[in-house]
Amino acid sequence: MNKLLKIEYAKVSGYAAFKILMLGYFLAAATLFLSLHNFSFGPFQIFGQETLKFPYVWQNVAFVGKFLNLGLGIVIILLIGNEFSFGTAKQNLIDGLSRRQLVISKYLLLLVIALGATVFMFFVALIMGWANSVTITGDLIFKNVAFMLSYFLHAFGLMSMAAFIAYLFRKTAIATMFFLAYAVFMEAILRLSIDADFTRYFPSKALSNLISTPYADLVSGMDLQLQNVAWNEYMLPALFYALLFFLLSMQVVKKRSL
Amino acid sequence: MREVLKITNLSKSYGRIKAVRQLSLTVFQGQVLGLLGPNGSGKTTTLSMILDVVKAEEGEYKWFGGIPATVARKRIGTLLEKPNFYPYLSALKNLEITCMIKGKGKENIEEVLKQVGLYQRRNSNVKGFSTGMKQRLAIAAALVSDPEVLILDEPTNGLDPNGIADMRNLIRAIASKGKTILLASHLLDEVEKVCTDVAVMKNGKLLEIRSLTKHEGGSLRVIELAGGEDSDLRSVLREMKEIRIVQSSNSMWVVETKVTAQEINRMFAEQGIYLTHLRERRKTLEEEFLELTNQ
Repeated sequence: MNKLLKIEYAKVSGYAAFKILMLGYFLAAATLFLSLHNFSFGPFQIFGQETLKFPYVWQNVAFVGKFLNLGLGIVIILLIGNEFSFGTAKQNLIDGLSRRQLVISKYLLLLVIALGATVFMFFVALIMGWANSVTITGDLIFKNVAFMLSYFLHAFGLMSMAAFIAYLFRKTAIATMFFLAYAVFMEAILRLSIDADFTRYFPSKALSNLISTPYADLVSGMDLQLQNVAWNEYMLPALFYALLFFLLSMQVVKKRSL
Repeated sequence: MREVLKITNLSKSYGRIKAVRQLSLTVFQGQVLGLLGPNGSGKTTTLSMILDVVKAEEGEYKWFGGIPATVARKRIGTLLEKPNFYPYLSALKNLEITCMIKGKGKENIEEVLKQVGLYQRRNSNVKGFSTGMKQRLAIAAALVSDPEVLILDEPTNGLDPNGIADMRNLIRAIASKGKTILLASHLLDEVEKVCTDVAVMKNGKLLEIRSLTKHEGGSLRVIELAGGEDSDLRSVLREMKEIRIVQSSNSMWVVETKVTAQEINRMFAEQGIYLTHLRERRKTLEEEFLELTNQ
């Protein structure tokens, strides 16, 4: 495992496009968070003073992070697509990696990126909460910190989906388009005509449900009701999909010629 | 001799086209086996299957008596079809990744880069390399883990004359260390110069396997001759028994016969024709190859 991660590190550490994309992700995230108070929806300020206070800030930062995760998915697609367009997936196999290891090594990298993004989001939420809260107590600060786990699962699940799409299509451009189209509107259109009891378990929806829309709470109650971070209801389906896409990726790579 | 690779009834088709049919082949330690065949005869597909890049439809292969495939591949240095590298990484970094995958130390990197003449450019990104330089780097990558077996698929593709000569010397030097080499190529004189054995493929089938080191036991000789008018030569040759004209171009005739060169010379002299050229030689691989594959 350690060896696979070292190999992946050697591949990305010299890759300027990867570094620029990751730096871009963090810069975009930072700018977005600094300007959150400017976003509004009709008369409602989406991220008003209340939403950025402890303990609500955890959910709201995670919610914004949910959209930024699309960018992480594209990074994963680029890295996997490269292995096919450079012929290096084939070469790695020839040199002695197994097909399993080809997939596992990319998933290890993906987990490290998800973990890094979560740590980043954790500090963003902590700093923003600190800056906006009037009363700060230990209880209050960490009351909803579990949303960071939701965020991590979302990043993992979405990148897992992206990885599977990349292994399926192998071409970066096609995979990226399909990934964005599916995550942004294809599934949403599909869901329109199907019962909500089923559609909540569709992959994109199941992942999205991890962190619900904060302004919906604002609108419905005019009072900040926080989403209940329930294991069974939100986390298990998300984890299920993250693992399912991993297993599907494995199957796709095992079955086909490289 | 120890078996390095045993292929049994390997088959693969692409749609309706049978790329490889029921191929069986055993490679022994120390052999330098040339895999010959016209374009599209299934050489690369065969090599791809024994490296797990392409899934075999039927049949099986065993490396080193049947050890796990990934363990085996770490002991094999391979250049398959075209060089595959991370273009944004330097030659050095690319070879480091190869070593990491092979589970080998990085101590050979400098040496192999010098061997293929890329040491000066070791820190340049592969992106800027010419076709020939990439090919050289691919050879370096195949050698860097000091493998027991080398698989080289058209190793001289894109190389300049110096590169081709270097490659030939390199293969000889490696073979002299007792390593096993599988060389797929359609450059016949190259195969003839470095290989101990040849296997000829056509339309996915193995036509023949034969040693190049042992002298053939057959009684047919190949004789080149020239002199006088073409028409006179032809009529004399036609009258001779047990002779077959293989080729005639630029007034040079090549015949296959049981008759000795001396006898031929005498027969021409009796007809009043004096030859300006007469040479008995072994059949070249090219002639044999063309004969086999044109059947």
